Amino acid sequence: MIDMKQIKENVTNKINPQKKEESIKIERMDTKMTNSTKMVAAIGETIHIKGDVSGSESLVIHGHVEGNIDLKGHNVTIGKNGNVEANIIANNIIVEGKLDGDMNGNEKVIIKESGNVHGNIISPRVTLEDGALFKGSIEMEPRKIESVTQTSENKPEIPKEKPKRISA
Amino acid sequence: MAFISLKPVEKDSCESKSPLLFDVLSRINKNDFYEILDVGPATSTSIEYFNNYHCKIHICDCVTSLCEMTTETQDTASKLNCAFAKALGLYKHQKNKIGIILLWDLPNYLQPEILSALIQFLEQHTSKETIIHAYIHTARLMPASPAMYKIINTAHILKQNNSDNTTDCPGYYQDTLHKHMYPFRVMRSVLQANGIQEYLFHRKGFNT
Repeated sequence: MIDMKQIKENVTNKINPQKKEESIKIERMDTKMTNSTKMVAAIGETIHIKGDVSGSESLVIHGHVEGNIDLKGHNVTIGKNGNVEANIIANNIIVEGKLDGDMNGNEKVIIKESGNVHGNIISPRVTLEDGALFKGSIEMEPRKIESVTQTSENKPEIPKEKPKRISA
Repeated sequence: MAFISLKPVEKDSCESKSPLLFDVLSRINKNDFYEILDVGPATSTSIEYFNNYHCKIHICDCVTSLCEMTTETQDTASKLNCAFAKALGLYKHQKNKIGIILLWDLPNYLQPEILSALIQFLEQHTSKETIIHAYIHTARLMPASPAMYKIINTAHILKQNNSDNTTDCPGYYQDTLHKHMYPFRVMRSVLQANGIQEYLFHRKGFNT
């Protein structure tokens, strides 16, 4: 059978070999991306939500949210016009707008220049850009990052152990 | 508050060493958990500095509101305590005690009665090991409003004056400070080249 895809790929590779490298790079980046970055929901500027928000995808807020936001393992971004009165639990939290509430960022919390935050932060890494307004407490746990990097460094050893178990 | 004179001072920011501040901060190690209270605003470089430690920083950004407080408006102890709790974001249910308090140059700008009341208020959130850091102006004049301080690395701070004008300096001596900072007493002090005396205070009778 003739594989048209293969032919097309061969032709494009001959014409532009760099393109193949680029596509591989993109593919690799894509596989590295977590589910949290693949799907992003957005709350528009005119939307006003009163109540708790939870789910299994990342969220960008341009509107007004009053309540708790629980998106463990995913990212939450409050846009420049976003106004949130809520406690947020997420992987990465980026604030460009206004937030009145506490944040628990499993990986990182970033308050951008336009951000205005009144609340407490718990996260292993916190970044605040100059010009941002913040009032509250920041609890940082750098050891959490170290433990994450240590476990990821140990990961390649796992396949080595598996074949031993099979042969035994 | 003292009147504002017309003699301008440099509004530009200047970098300087702060040996006592970094002596205190060097006590924070990665194994212990520290609570730090900063009365100043949040700055990117200071947050970046504390990112390396397992600590909790209370960023109060309350310098302006504390400077506006007077014994006329807050004429009772309960009114004062309510105002401090609101400004500092510290309420009675705090789990841990604060280990380091960064007052920067705030004591120079508070009414002496307000300063005493503030220290008494802070005392309930401190332990025997708590250290207070402050800058006290020693010249006749000082900038009309408190400056903004940034920790820029492990030895230097950046001071940014918020005003071009100057005002009379209360010129606190050690004895006066002991009175206003009670029960904290001077632990160490260093006179810097710019005429600012850097102080560390600890609880009376406790030797570190």
